[in-house]
Amino acid sequence: MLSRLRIKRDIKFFVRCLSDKPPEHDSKMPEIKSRDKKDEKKDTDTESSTEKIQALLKLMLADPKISDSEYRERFTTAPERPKRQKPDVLEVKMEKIEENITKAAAEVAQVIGGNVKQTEADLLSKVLGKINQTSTTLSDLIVGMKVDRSRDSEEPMARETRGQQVKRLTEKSRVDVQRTRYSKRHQDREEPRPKQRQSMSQANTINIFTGEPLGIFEAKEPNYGTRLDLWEKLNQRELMLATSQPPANYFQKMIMWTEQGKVWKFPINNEQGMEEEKNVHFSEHIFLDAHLEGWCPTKGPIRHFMELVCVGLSKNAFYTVKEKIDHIMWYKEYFESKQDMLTEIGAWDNKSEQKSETSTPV
Amino acid sequence: MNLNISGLSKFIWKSQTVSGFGFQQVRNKWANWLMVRDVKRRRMSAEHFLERTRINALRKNNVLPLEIRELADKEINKFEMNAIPLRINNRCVITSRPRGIVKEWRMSRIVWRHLADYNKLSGVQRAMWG
Repeated sequence: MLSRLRIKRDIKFFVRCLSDKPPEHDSKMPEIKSRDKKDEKKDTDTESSTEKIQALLKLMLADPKISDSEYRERFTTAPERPKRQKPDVLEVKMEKIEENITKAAAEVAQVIGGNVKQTEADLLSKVLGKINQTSTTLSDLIVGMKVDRSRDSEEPMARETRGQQVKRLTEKSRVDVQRTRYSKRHQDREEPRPKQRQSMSQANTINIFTGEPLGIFEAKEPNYGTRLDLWEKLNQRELMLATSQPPANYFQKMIMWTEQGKVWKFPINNEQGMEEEKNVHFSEHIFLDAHLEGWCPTKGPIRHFMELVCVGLSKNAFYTVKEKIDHIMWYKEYFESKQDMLTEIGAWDNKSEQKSETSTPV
Repeated sequence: MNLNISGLSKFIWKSQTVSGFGFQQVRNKWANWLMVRDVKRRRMSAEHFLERTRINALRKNNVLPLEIRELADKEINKFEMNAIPLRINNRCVITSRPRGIVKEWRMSRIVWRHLADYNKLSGVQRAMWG
């Protein structure tokens, strides 16, 4: 009961806030009245209205100062009376609607011509039947409903096969790509509706989202040439997860592993997976001095060092030839980058040495 | 050095949208933060291994002139500390125990014993002789 009072109060506040007029003299809330009077006295004409509105809003937000029991004691509150307004209002409205409908039906039937009374009766039955249905009784519902005898047909559908599952997932994702987010939202809302329809077959509801489109607007999204890399990657991942099913038994697991190359084949070959290395001749692994030609000085500490490197690499049984060559080339680049420093020491100048050697005897 | 832990754990710790932020337990693949550090070090040292060994070879020889060796000394210090393979610690793979590791199986002796008793380790049998 007290909550009703509060609601009334709030509604009155709203009304007051919306209206520009100053609040009227209200015996129920003397505190507010005094506050408003003070505000009116202080403010000027231009600020008074805004100030009042603001004050009212603040008061609305503030909690009531008196508790409900105190309020009841101090002021005379209206005695509780059972409210019968709502059903009365509804009934009145219903009667009005029915009158309007009957009038309209009569007019329409006359306009259409032909069997006036028949058309009128048809229209009324269709329209009024719906309104009368709002007073739902159990008997009405049961009369309307049809017995659902589709249980037997559901059993084979209950367990969909793998193929069907994959199909469902891929089609869903494919269809989703074409639609925009807006249409997807409506699709999600649409899904529970077909289930409802099966149980209440009498309800003639119109579903706006099904049905053939007129084809006036194109649903194509303009392509600005943007590339969503991560999106595409995740899309691919989704497809892969949808299509690739985990192995159902041990045989399938072994098949998968064999195709991936994880399974050891009998008789065991230690070099399984390294078949390409057989084609490389051993001389390429051992005689690496050829790679020193051209850049490495013929004498000096650097040559000594590089020959040691080549000896070490020739004894390495685990590197491929490419890796060994890369190793040597890395050193070449390193020394060439430090050329100026090395020439200062006198350890690098290879070509000048050779030239001087060849020129001096002449 | 993306281990995919820091992103999620930071999100959980700091984002005020996740309930229990600041206190929520973060679960990773690894048993211990020490294990996580070890994993980081392993990955870093694997990444820089080749270049580091090559520069180290320049240092550890008395064939090359001194200046080159000193230069190589300075260059090797430019790598991060986690790139040094000596910092790798062979912890137990399951419990992250730093000591008492059976090396071939990468497990602590306790876990090793547990699995051996349940016959999960190939070729491992209770010792008996005499």
